[in-house]
Amino acid sequence: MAQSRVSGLTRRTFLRSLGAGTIAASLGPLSAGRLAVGQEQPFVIGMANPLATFFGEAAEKALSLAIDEINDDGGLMGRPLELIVSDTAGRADQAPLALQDLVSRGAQVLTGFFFSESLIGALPTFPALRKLVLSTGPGSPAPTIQVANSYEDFKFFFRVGPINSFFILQSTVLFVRDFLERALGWDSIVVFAEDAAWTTPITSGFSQLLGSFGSEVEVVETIRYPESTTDFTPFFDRATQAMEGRNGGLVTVMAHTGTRPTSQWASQEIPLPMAGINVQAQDGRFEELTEGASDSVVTFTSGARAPITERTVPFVDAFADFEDVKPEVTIPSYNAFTSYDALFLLKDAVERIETLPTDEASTDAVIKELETYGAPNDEGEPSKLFTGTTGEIGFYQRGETGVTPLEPEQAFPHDVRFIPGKLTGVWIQWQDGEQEVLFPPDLATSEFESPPWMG
Amino acid sequence: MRVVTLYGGIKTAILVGIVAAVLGIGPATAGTGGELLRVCADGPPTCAFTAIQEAVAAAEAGSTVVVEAGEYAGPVQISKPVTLIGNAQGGSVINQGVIVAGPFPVTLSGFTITKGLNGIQAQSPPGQPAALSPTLRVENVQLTGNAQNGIALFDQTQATLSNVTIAQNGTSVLENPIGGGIAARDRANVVLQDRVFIRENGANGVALLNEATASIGAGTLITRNGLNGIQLGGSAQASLQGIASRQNRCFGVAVNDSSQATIRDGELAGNGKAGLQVGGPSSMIFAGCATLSDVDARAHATVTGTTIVGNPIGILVGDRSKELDRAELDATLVLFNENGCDLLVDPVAPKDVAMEQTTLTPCS
Repeated sequence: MAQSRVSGLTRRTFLRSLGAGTIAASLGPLSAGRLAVGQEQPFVIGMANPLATFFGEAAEKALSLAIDEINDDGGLMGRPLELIVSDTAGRADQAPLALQDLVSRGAQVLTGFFFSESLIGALPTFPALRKLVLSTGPGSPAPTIQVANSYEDFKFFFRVGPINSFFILQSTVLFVRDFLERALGWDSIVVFAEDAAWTTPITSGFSQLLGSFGSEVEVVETIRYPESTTDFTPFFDRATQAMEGRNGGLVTVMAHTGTRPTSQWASQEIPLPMAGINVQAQDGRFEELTEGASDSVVTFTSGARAPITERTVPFVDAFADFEDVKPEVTIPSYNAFTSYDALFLLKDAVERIETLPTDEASTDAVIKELETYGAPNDEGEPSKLFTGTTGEIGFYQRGETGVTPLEPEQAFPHDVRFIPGKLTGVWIQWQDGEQEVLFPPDLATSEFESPPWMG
Repeated sequence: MRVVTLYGGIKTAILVGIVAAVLGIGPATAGTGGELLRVCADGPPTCAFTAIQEAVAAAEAGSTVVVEAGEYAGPVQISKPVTLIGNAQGGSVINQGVIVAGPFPVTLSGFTITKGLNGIQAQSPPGQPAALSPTLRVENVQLTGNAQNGIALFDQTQATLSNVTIAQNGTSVLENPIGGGIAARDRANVVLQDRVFIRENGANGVALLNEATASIGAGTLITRNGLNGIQLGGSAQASLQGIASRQNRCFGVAVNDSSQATIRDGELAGNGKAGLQVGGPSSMIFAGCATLSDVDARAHATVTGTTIVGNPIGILVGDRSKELDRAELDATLVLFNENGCDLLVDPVAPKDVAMEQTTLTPCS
């Protein structure tokens, strides 16, 4: 067996270190003895997420709901699913420990991650763990670039959602062009971004990108505010002055800092609508977090209570009604949609080949099967798509380049496909405490509303 | 104590006593009731074993394994109560780490442990309740060059360290620091006694998460780590007595989420962002010191008789970016010196700050 080096460790070494698990086998009756005689051993799903955050809680609830439904339907190849969780605390240094923790506790398939930082921190463990990893939160393209560059080491990784950062940017440009410009008549925007690594490629090229996609919207100001900002007044003043006499608003690029700027934007009644990416606005408690400032805030997300597919609305309703786990979380976050989809996609793949990923060979077989979802047919169109709650799910293939004009030479194997009309994500707006879909138009549940103080 | 004869005809009970006496290990940790097994590079007839793992496998509960000078392959997996003694003043090197899993006492003394995922990893056995975790004693050990952490403690492991150096563990991926000196999670407990040096690790010198607890005593020096000297996250608790946390890239001590720390007679000097941070979530942005996400939490720090010197900010209460972050600070007899400014309290979220017998320059 080839040995691959991981941060100074050989793969064999790492596997042996994980073999601490084998120590346990002789230690007592509890390790495998929880089930009654005749009952199948559970197949264990391990979730690594920041457990104390809304996004960790929502993902745990979505997975628990999926497991309930799958177990009620006979389990996975007849085996009941069991969920175990471990805390990444959203930290790069803790994420690898969380994965080790899960694997040593018997997890056969790993899922989760919210922050890209955590996922990237965990990357060096993938070649050693050699467990299927179904990622459901981060947008960084780094993992699938690793799949492209070093397939044997990173083939275990699949991003079920969301679309990666390049496609999020592409989707944002299309939203500005097709909705803000062509539907609402905006002629100008201020790009309003937190000063973080992930926003740099967006703010640096946004204006040019709009032009290349045929938009005539003018970026009149780009504001990058420090994440430690306590008073946003000067930034809002700059934006307001720049937009004097123009028709448009703020295109936000915020993930880490959404609530405070939103609160101040509302309390100061800034005369510019807030549309763009505001990850905190995906939180079902956004109204509470912003002390009532959520109304009219727009954000991008993977799913909402809209007929994206036939599974979407039933999932959202079942999630709200499911009280066994985290009953206080009633609206699924984007990574709740993708977590739910991940398990049903796994079930679909496993049952097609009648193979559970319990060892390296069977894991390889499941990987091969997953790779067939979204494989281009003779006409070059992605085929065999899995119907999830977020859309029709398939994956980019190895060596498949030219999938985004933003990075035409790069392949993103195992990244969920961005397929206009089938899987793009949705743009939602908070209206009277509810998340309504604005875009794409075929999924819209409401029309755009300006902030209450703008009439 | 059972007496067995090994190669060379040495009465092991006598040797156990001699080794224990020389190394200053009490009888409770020296394998009472067990045998002594020797490991050396040459193997028989000089000693019985050439591999530590073979000796551990052959050992009865309570035995002592004495390891002579040389490099030995790991990871050494320990699933029984044993004492491992490096008999070469640091010249006994274990590559690829030591993994302890199970509810029993284990002592490691006199080793250099390197090139592991974690230098020492301790946990309950897989599938077993967390309560079935080991009690670990680590003495006269150097942990260096391990890919993630010098020591990683899971479940309800209890570890006591004295005369231990934990240096240059962890790595970086895309400028993202991973791993550090000591990581204790999920109700693990770590006690640092005499002469523990934790320096130049990738992320935190000591990271405590989710009800992990620590008692860190005088003689502990934590310096030049890639993020914080000590970081508490989740609902961790720490008692820090007479420690020095210097020149770490972000905070000397960060008390985040709903953690609690008591700092007495310490020194927090020359750290990159602040000597002490109280409040804010523990999540860290890419290669940065700022924190992520909104977490409804309440951190608390009590600081007494501590010198806070040469930091851009002496004490930062809150993280200056979050709404729901509450923080409480009780400080008495704190000496501030040569900080950019001494106390910065985030004005937005609720804070409760009490300062007694302390002169300071507030930050504007």
